[in-house]
Amino acid sequence: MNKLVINVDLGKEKISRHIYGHFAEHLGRCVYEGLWVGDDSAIANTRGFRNDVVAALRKLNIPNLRWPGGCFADTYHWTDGIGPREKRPSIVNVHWGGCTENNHCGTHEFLDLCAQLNCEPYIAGNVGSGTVKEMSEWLEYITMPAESPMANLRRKNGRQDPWPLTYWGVGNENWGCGGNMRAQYYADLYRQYASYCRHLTPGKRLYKIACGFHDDWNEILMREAGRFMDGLSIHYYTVPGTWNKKGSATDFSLDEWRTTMQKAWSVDGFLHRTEGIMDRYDPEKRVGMILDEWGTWFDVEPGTNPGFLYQQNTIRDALVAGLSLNLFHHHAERLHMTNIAQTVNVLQAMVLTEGAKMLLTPTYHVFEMYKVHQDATLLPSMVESPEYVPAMSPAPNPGAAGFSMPWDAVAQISASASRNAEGKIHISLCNLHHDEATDIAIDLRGTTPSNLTGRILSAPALNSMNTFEEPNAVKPTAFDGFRLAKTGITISLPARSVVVLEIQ
Amino acid sequence: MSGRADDSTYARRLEICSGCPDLQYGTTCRHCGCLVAVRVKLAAKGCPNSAPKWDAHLELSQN
Repeated sequence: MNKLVINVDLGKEKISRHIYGHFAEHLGRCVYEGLWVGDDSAIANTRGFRNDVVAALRKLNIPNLRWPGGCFADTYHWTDGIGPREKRPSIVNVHWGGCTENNHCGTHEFLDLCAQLNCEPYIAGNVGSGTVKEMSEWLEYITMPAESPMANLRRKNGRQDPWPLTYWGVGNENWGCGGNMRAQYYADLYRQYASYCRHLTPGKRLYKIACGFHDDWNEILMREAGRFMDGLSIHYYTVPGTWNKKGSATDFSLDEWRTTMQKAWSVDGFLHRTEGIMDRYDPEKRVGMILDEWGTWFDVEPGTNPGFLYQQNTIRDALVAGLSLNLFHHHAERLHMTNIAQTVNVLQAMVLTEGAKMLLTPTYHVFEMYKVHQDATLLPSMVESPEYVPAMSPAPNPGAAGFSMPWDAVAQISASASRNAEGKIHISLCNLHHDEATDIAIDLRGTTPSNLTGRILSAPALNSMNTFEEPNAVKPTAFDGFRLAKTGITISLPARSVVVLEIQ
Repeated sequence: MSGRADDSTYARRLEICSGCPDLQYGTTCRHCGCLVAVRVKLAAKGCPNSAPKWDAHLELSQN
C-alpha cells in the first residue's frame, strides 16, 4: 500500500499565495474577448471586463495577474494604451498571429481588472524593443503620487491616485523572443534597466524580476546581477510531443498520458537545479524563484486559428495542475511565485469562452480545490508509492523550455500538506495512474484526526472534459473514500483523481 | 456533432461570416477563435455571437 507520513507538529515554510498566480497575455482570445469585451458589448461587463469571467476567477482567490506578456511584453509600448480609447493607435501583435489590436485594454483597464479581481498586478516591462526611459516613465505613471510629468498625464487620463504595484518584470524571455540576447549582455542590460525601476510611492518597494532561462544562463545572471534583483523568472511547459508536433489536447494515447505526467513531474528537477545555482550566489535565499509561465502546451484545437493557442482541457490537465502544485509547495522556501499560462482561452486555461458562453475547465477546479493551501504553512511529508513511469535519461527530446533535460521517474501518488492560520490541515493527493485505483495510508504525526471532510475531481475517461454543450461533465464532488484510525487515515483513491482533504 | 452541414447551409453561413464585422484577418471569428471556413461546415455548430447571425430557424426547416 502507498504511504504518506505527515509531520503535523513541524513546518516552518509558508506556501506563498503567489504560487497560485495567473498570466494574461495579449494573445489569441485571452485578453480580448476572454477578459475584455469593451463597455459597449452585449455581454454583461463591468467597465469592459466580462462579469462571468471575473466572478469565476474571484472564486479562485487569484493572488496576482501577470500582464501584458509573455513575448508580447517586449513589443508593447505602454503609451499606446492610455488616453481616450478612440484615439489609441492599433498595433500588430507580431508574435501571435500578426493580429491587429486596438489597444483598448491598456494600463488603466488592466489595473482596474486587478482591482475587480482583488489581485496584485505583475507587469512585465519592455526590454527587447523598449528603452530605459520608457520603462521608468511607465513606473512613474503608475506609482507617483506627487506632481510629475507622468503623474500629471495619468491625472489627465482620469486617475488621480497611483495604483498599488509590487511586482515588475524587467523583460521576458530575453534569451529568445525578447531580443535573442546572450546571458552576459542581458545581465548588463538588467542592471541598467533595474537601476531606473523605482517605486515612487513613499513607503512602497518594487519587487524586480529578472529574466532567467536554463542553467548556464541562470548561472551568469545570478553571478553578475543577482544582488540587483528580487526574483529570477524561469519558464517550464509540459509538452508531451515535440515543439513541432506537441500532441492533441483531447485525442491522445496512453503513452502520451504517461509522457505528460512525466514531463510535468520533471519540473521538480528543473526547480532543484535552479535552486542550486541560486544558492551559490544567494545562500541567504533573498532572491525568489519565479516560475512565471508553466502548464500544458498542446496543438491548437482543430479548426481554430493556429496563432491563438486555444486548447481544450481534460482530466489529464487537472492531474498536471494537481501534481505541479504539490511539487511547488515543496519548493516553498525559494519559490515565491508561479503563473500558470494562461488565464482564459489560451493554453492550460482556467475558463474557456465562446461568445457569451463560458465554461470552467478541470484545471479551474483543481485551483479552486487547492486554494486552501494559499499562505498556509507547508507540513513536511514523505510519500512511499510505486513507480508509475520510469526515468528516462538522457533526454529523448529537447526540454519544454527549449533545452535538454532528463525526465524524472514518476510515482503513482503525488501529495502535499499544509496547516492554515485557523489550524486546519489540508492534504492534496493525486493518483496519476490512468486506470488503477489505489489505497494510501496517511500517518499523521503530532495529531489525532477527528473531523475529516474531502472533495474529489475525477472523470470516467482519460480525456473527459467540459464543453459548451456539456459544461459540467467534470466537476468536484464530495469525497468519502476514507477511514479514520487512531494515528492516521486510509484513503481509497480512484484512478486519475485529485483529492483534497480537510482535517480539523 | 461530427455531421457536415449541407451545401446550402454551408454557403449561407459562409456568406454571413464573410460580411460580419467580427471576422478577423479574413479567416477567424473573434467570438470563438475558429477558422470560419471550418466552423461553417459543422452542422451542429451555431454562430457564437451573443446575438447569433446564422438563421437557426431557416437551418432547422431545411435540415
